[in-house]
Amino acid sequence: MADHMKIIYTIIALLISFLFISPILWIGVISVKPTDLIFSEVISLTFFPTIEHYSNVLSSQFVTYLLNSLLVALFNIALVLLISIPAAYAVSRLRVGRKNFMFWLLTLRMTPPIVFSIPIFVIFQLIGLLDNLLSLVLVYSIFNVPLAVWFFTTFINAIPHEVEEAAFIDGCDIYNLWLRILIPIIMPAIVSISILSFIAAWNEYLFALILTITKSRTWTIGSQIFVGTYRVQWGELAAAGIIGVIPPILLLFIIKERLIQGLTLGRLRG
Amino acid sequence: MRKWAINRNNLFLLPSLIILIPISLIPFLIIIYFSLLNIYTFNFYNPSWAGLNNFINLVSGPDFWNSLFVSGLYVTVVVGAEVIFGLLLALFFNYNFYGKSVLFVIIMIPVIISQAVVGYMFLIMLSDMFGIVSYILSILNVKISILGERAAALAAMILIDILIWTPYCFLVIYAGLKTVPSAVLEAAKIDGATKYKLFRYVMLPLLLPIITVAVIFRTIDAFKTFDYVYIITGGGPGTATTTLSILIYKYFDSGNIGMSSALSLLVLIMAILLSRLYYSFLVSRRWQTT
Amino acid sequence: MNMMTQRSKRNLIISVVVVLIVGIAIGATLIVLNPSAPAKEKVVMIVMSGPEAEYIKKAAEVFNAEAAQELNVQLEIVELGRDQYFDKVKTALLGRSKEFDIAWLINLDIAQYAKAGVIEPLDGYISDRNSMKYDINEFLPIALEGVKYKGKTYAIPLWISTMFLYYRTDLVSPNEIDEWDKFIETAKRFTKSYNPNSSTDYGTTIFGAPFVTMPMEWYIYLWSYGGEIIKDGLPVFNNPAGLKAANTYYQLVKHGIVPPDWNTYEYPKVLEAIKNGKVAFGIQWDAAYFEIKSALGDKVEIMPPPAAPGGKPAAYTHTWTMVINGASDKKAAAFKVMTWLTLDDKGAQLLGSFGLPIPTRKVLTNPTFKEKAPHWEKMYNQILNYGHSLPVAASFSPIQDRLIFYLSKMLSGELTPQDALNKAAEEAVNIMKEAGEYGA
Repeated sequence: MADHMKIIYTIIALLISFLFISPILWIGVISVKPTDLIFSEVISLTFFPTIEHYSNVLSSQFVTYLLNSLLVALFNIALVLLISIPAAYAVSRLRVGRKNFMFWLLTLRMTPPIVFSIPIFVIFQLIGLLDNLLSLVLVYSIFNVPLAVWFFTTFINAIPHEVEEAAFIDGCDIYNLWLRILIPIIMPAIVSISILSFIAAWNEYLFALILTITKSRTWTIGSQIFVGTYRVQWGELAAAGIIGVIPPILLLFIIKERLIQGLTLGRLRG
Repeated sequence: MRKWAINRNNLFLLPSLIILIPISLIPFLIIIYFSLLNIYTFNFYNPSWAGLNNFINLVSGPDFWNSLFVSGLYVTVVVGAEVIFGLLLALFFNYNFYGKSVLFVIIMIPVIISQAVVGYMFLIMLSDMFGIVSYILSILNVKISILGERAAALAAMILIDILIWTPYCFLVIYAGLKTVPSAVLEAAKIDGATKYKLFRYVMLPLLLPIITVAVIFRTIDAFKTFDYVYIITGGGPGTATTTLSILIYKYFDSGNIGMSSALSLLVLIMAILLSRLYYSFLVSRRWQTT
Repeated sequence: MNMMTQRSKRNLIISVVVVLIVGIAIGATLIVLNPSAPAKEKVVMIVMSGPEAEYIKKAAEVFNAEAAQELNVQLEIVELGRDQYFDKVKTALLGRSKEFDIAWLINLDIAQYAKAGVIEPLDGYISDRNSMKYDINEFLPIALEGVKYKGKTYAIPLWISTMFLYYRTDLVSPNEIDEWDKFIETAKRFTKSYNPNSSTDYGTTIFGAPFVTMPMEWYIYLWSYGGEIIKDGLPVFNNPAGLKAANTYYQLVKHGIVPPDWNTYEYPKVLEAIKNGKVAFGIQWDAAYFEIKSALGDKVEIMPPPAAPGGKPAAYTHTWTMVINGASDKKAAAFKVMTWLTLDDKGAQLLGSFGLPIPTRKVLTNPTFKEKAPHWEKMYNQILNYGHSLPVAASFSPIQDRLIFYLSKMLSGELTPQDALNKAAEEAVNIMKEAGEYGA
């Protein structure tokens, strides 16, 4: 491809990215604006930035909350992958649960959270997992597993049967088939589902509210204490939002090369 | 061997069933029970039987139909726009450009940021007297109260949804795009297919199943949209942005647990019917052929 | 081939074992990370964040340092944001959770939880000499009345709130806004669309957001026209007085004398509108006094809300209170904490010195409190002269929520004032019947 085309595409890509994050950039501006100016000088960009909001946010137990969220989200990914890939394989290749199981999963995703709050609460109280990160890891699979199973099923469906037949003829058993052939092919799906599950768990708020109180509080609950009885601490709220974006973004940045690799890995050559 | 295969088949579903059934089926049954009761906060442990009254009240009053209309409009527009933009973005990411992996991460930020925080921030940004967006509009000589006018408020909620969730569709579709066998594309190129034809007759059919997944799940999630709409407009002005999920919450907030459970069930049934519809339209034919 | 199968079978077994071990390890770590057994008598109080939560946290520090030993109780404060607080309290109380022992409730919410049997009646503790070291009658009678349901006391009052009319002394004089007609006319004068020379954008504000503060503001209108919410077990807010009140409320929006996105206005935006000189006057909570005063100084003053022509103004007032979770194992200890905070010389005076108006004579007449809260005198008189009490009924909270719904519809023009009130009244009747309070 011509070099100047690459530059033009880069410019377009920059414009698109700017469009998507412009509101977040403005939240960033609010997060460093002195409280008095947030409403009195709405559009001013010439103020002297303050880190007061950030230090207020971080002086509470915010870091612990972030850590809790991180743990929950990561373990949730593990759980989701562990139970969804076998289920998707069964649906796609072994022809079980095609209709009922798959649509039952959709009802799970659809569950109206607020109405579910009291029953869910009672159940976790019975099994003694209130205010425990494990309860969140389990509950978040309610909405993450359905997407994962549907997603993986679609990907496995797209793999020609010949691939497996060839493998079986070569003497490959089902376990090796998975590890050596299926998993690499659906790698893009695994990467995407990991990101999407992470995001869903990272930002979930109602179950986190219902099932936790202090020890396992997540950052979404922690960020909301800046919305008080009547008053809202706008600067602190913005700062908390920005801080809450950093860990996942850092994580994505660290794995970004592998991420793109993973997303392109699965291309079938057959 | 055959018998073992059957056992094994069930074994694959078992882990998901073991984890999901207890934490979903029991609450689900409780919700069905609640929906048949006159149950409020004050008589939670001593409710009276309502039969189907909650459902009858819902479908005979105007609020359910209004919210159904608002949600229907909202879901149709956002899902349509997000899937199309997501697809375009995914196709665009197939081109070569500098800093692809960095921009990939940056585009993910809107989905990652807390919706509740976004809600409060847009409450300022869209405010007539204190908002940056209103300020920019006034420079452009557009005189409109974004959150105060019915159509504008709903449009603003839709635009925010598109802004937040397009990256989600992008990610789903991009992963699908990456598994389109390159040999297929090259073969088509050799056959002299134009770019449009390549997309329309080769890529789109291959992408259709994954687009269907994106549509189904975005539809379900868009029905559930709550956080930022509730924070920004609270469903107003009047009931102009009262989506079904906000109506569910309003009943729950009033302590009317019976009505909110009944409405949840109705929404659930509609979502499932809608998913089945999508599914049979878009995928089943394809599934049979593979 | 045989070899291969054997090896992969071994691999399969190994991986299953690994998965199991990892799973158990995850579970175990998470459980260990969250030890759930409390060490000793620790009372947990769940509070809504805000300035009052900050005061309570400081008071808790003092309590744990000075009184904890003697009373053998530790106090822990758990803070939640406003949008989450009510959901959490409702779920936990109805689910009979032991997560917290004390919660804050507005006094009008007490009745529904009392009727559900999920909060603890306190009379036994109050009459017991061992647990009650103070005189309960220290509280103002109006505050004590507000925490009773069917003759039993369910809560300890913590602080009392009311709404004032804040006005700009440099722009308007009190006699221009002391009656609703004049209030609306004067507001037009300060609205740019009526008067391009106006120094403010709009005349006044409204609590138009569909939030609990909206009906609270509207009751001021209702009462000032001589209306009532519930009378003799019947909803009467849709009678002619109520209609007048609703019409006046609707005029604010119809005439465009409030900001056009009024439907997003509650405390935070009303505060900013007054503080930043965007409006000339507006009804707002007493809690905003310090912030508005520090922004505008002498240019702003407070007065009672307007009255109907020739009538008397009305003041809204409620009390934030502390209740004991009915499922708690530490009720006696919780009671000790609550009384220490509000009635003990040390605890109550400490909270009072932050400016928290605990409704007891001792606190309200204390010099440090008066110095901290110079507006209290006016507030006290307003409550005493114009204060109305809210109905004590389990059905009241749900009825109020339906009022929010229908008043929003009215303000946006979806329903006429009369239709909106009638609809709300119709639903109120059903709720009251369900609670066994209809016609009672």
